[in-house]
Amino acid sequence: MKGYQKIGGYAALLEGVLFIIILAIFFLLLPALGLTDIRDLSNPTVMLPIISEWPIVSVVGLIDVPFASLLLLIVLAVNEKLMIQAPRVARVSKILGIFSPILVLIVGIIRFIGILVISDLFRQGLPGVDAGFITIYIVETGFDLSAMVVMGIWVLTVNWTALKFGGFPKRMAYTGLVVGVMHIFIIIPFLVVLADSIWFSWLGIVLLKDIKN
Amino acid sequence: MKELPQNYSRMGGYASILIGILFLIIPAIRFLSISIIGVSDIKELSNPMIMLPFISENPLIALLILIAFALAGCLIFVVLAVDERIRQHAPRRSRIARIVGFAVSPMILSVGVIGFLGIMELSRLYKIHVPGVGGAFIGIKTVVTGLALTAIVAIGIWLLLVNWSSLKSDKFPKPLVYAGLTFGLLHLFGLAPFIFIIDAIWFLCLGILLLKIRDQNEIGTG
Repeated sequence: MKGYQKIGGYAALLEGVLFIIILAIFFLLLPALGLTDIRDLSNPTVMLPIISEWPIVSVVGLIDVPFASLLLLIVLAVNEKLMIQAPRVARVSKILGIFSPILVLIVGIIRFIGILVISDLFRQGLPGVDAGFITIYIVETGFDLSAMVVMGIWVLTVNWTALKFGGFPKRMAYTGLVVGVMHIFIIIPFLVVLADSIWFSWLGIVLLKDIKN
Repeated sequence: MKELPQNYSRMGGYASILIGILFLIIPAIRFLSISIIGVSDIKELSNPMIMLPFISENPLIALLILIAFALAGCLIFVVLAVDERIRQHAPRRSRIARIVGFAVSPMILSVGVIGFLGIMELSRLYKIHVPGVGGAFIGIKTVVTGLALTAIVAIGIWLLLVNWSSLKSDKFPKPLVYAGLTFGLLHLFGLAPFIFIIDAIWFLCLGILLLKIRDQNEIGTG
């Protein structure tokens, strides 16, 4: 026993809170910046004046750094738990699980650096900044959605394994299967984030309860 | 309930055949799109002056990129099935091959997602005359091509690792192993102009073989 359960449990609880923070940022920050239509996020004529005035919004991208680190700890803890009952599937799910934090980290760094550099270049009045903005927006959103799909495959795999071989409470495993499917098909992103928050908090409680038992 | 030894041969076999078919469909789409868009040179597919009016009129062409989703999903099962066969003979090499093989899937997935999102967003922004869409098209095309080439090189490394591991065992027929090694090298150096066609052949052969193995096992255990 390498003892990832305790740290993984706390990480899962924190991850659940982070999902709520992400939702709050989304619903509070966008209206505060004067954005009424979500589609304007990819429009450089709307976004460039905003981010050049408020380059501090790039810090939002850095939320992905603790998010990815916590996810890595959770993957290790879940792997440790499933390894006892289903070592082969656990090995596969671990590899799948590790790719998700890597993608999340890439998204965060691109978002952070992208906003900082683009806002600086826009203030200097350089040509082609709008093209750069659209490119960065599409690339980071693409990686973000890829991370969601990969995380969905991981959530689906671990819950299916837990359902078949034990490890999680049945109701949690069924909820996890629904969350995994929602991730893969990206059914209403804000609902996915809300469902994630519930499932990860539940996972945290289960992992911490296991240590006490 | 304890986990029983699993057999990924059947799923891997079907997945491999599907990958083979997809690798035949991809170049066909590429050549068809040249005639549909009406360009004379394949290089013009990266020209925003030609491509942006086309994709803004036909944004649903982005759905074709979703082939990447199927490719990424199938590859996971093929990697598992191949790993299952070579693991006992070369455990260390097979572990590396498994990680490399799994790493290709998120890359292919990212190619699909960025490509899909790129076409949908660029066609929308082009229609409302947002400045910089031409430059963004070149940027997205470069990123997607770069990721796709990285995935091709990674598949090459996987091919080399699994076929090298299979050389000393009788888990796969020797012609398939030598072909795999050659194709792996071609992947690494990007030497093959029709890399998808040779991949299609190799994956189709692998799929048929995995299904045959499965059938033999069933006869043996039955």
